[in-house]
Amino acid sequence: MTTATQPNVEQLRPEEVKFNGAQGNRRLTKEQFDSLQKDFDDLRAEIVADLGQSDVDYMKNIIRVQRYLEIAGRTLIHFSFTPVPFMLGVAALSVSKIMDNMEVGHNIMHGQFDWTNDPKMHSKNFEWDTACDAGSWKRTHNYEHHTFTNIIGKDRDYGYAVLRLSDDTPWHPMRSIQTVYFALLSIFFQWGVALHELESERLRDGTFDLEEKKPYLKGLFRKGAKQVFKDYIFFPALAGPFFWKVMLGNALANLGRNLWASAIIFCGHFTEQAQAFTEEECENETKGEWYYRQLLGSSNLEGGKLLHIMSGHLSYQIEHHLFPDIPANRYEEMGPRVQEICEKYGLPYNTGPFWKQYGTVLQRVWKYSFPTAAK
Amino acid sequence: MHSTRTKFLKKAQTWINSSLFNTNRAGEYFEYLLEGVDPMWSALECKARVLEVKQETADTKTWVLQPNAEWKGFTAGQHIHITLSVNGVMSTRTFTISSSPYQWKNDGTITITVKKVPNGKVTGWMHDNLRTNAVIGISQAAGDFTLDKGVDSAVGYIAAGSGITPIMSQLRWLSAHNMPVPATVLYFANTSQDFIFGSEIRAITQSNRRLDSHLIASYDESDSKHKLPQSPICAEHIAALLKNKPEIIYLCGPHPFREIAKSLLQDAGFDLKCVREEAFGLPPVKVEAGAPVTVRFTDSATETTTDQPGTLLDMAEEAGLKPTSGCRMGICYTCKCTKKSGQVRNVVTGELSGNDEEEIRICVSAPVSNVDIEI
Repeated sequence: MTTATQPNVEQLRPEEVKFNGAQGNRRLTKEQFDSLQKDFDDLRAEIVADLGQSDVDYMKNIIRVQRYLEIAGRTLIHFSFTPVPFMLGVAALSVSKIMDNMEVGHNIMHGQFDWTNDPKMHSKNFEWDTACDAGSWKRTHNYEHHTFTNIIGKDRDYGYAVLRLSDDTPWHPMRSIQTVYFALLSIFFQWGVALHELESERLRDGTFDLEEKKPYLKGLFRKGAKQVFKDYIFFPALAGPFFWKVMLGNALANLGRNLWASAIIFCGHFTEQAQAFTEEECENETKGEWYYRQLLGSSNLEGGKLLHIMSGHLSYQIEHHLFPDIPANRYEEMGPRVQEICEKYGLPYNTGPFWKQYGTVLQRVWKYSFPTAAK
Repeated sequence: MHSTRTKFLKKAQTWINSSLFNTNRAGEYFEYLLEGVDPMWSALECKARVLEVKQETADTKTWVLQPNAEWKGFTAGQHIHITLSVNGVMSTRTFTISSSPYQWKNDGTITITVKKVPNGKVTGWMHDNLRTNAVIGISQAAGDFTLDKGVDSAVGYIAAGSGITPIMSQLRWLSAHNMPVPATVLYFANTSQDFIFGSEIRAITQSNRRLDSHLIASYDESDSKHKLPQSPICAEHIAALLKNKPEIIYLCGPHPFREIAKSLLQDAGFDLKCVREEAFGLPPVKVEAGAPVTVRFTDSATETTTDQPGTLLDMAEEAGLKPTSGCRMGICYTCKCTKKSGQVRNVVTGELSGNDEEEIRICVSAPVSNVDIEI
């Protein structure tokens, strides 16, 4: 069930109402924004003060499991002669890549573990098992997406420049087959992420030329070549006559990771309830208003421990967007506290089970592929 | 020709490591796995196990350490960096070895003797939590606060407080060698209760005619506020030390103490070139009155402006950033960062940098002009 708390209509005073997308959420007063900010700042300070050895031990254990799975997966793919061990190997390698990208890489690159002063889990040094190089990711994701979350025209993660997900984006004939783009983006997600910083849509409309993208392209080719070398040349070549078997296994493992990672990430901001914002709305935004936008623009997934770990705790997308640099293993205990704060201000806390949330994403991609009425 | 080939091979190896393990050093990929099997195993650094903890004085303890096979030994007077996890924060500190190299040859153990620094995060944690069987990281020994090979003339020692530790290592070594050269020790402590190794120094002095030691307390032992008449170092002490005509004087203690001792030595006509110092701790950062400087932390899109700049590490931390750091005294290079532009002063040597891009250690660099740094 989607349990979005609806605003109490009686509390609305006309001069304060600012409607937003389909939900029409209440815009808070200045005092309320300040007090909302204080509540979130206090929660943050409380958790930061409590960080310690157990958080480091948690991340080290996750990294150990991830690496044992990678070693087991590659070994099984290499030595298997029947489909069952081969598929077990594919599964292990795929899970290892998911853990590396989501629970380990994404969180470490947010600087969640910089306080540990351990160079092996410091955002400055960490590189992950995917085509997108860490530097490009930190620029597009940590800076652009987390600062300008769901601001149409500024947050390029909103629809990844190929999907129309709100009436704020004008319809174009190209958008009519966006469900196909969506499927392709899911299948080749690691390359989609790697190409994100190319900003091909801005290259086409002449915002800048290819020359300016040279340093980025260099990084893209450098990292992309390494990934191709590892999964499609080195490990297949080790298997000699079984080159194609290993190559297929690695490709399947990458595909599994791509489908899962894209599904989780689309659920974060493109669900039915997740809201979009315009640039004008966000001008001269205070920290309280920033928290408000992060809260309304994100949606959570309900599930067990395994879902949380396999999604890199992006199942707690709301908590992650409010506190992107707090170790993700803390989001679970922060969730109920964030929900309390939402109730206090009558703000929605958008959450639901994975399939339900993903279903609304698919509906939304389908719905906005048609020229719906502009608002 | 040969070096071109080695260079190429090294480059190729780094490239392969970074594609297979996402890190330039394969060891980093395996480090947590090894640590998970046995904390004494490491692909990156030496490790040592704590065998025993001994109380020396009210605020000083000795840890008996057994380094693993990677550790290569030391010369009396040298120091090591130790790395430990203080509530999850990887912390590096430098300590001199207080035991004799003989002990290491005989039973493979060394000792460090550490005074609890008031409000010291690391030494405080060590005193309360670093117990028998704990495993810590240690560096190879380094430093030139050592006896020269084939030393054949008298030596002098001046120590204050825990500055006795490297000197103790030398005294123990000399004593095991039946005092090959005459030695005189001046050792200052707050009260007679505060002499670390006091009884051992007295015992060695009694059994060796060639060792002359003076243990001088600055305060009455019952009342640390009541200064004794012979209080801190003065010309008489220096005269007693110089009676033996030492060729080299080893000086270890807090910065202000060393400055006083050196000026007294100079007054007594001793050539300061023959004084060797163990310079622990940063001298106070001199603030030069002048125009305010702005430091831009380019990777974090943060900047600070101040007319009282401290070290760049302190400034980054005050700005809420968490760059990796180690010894905080310019020894370990953990905090090395790229300065894009601007001039900095080395707070240890007073040396001024150029204005161009270069690698600097931020723990000992204070900005002189506006500085852009990759943090």
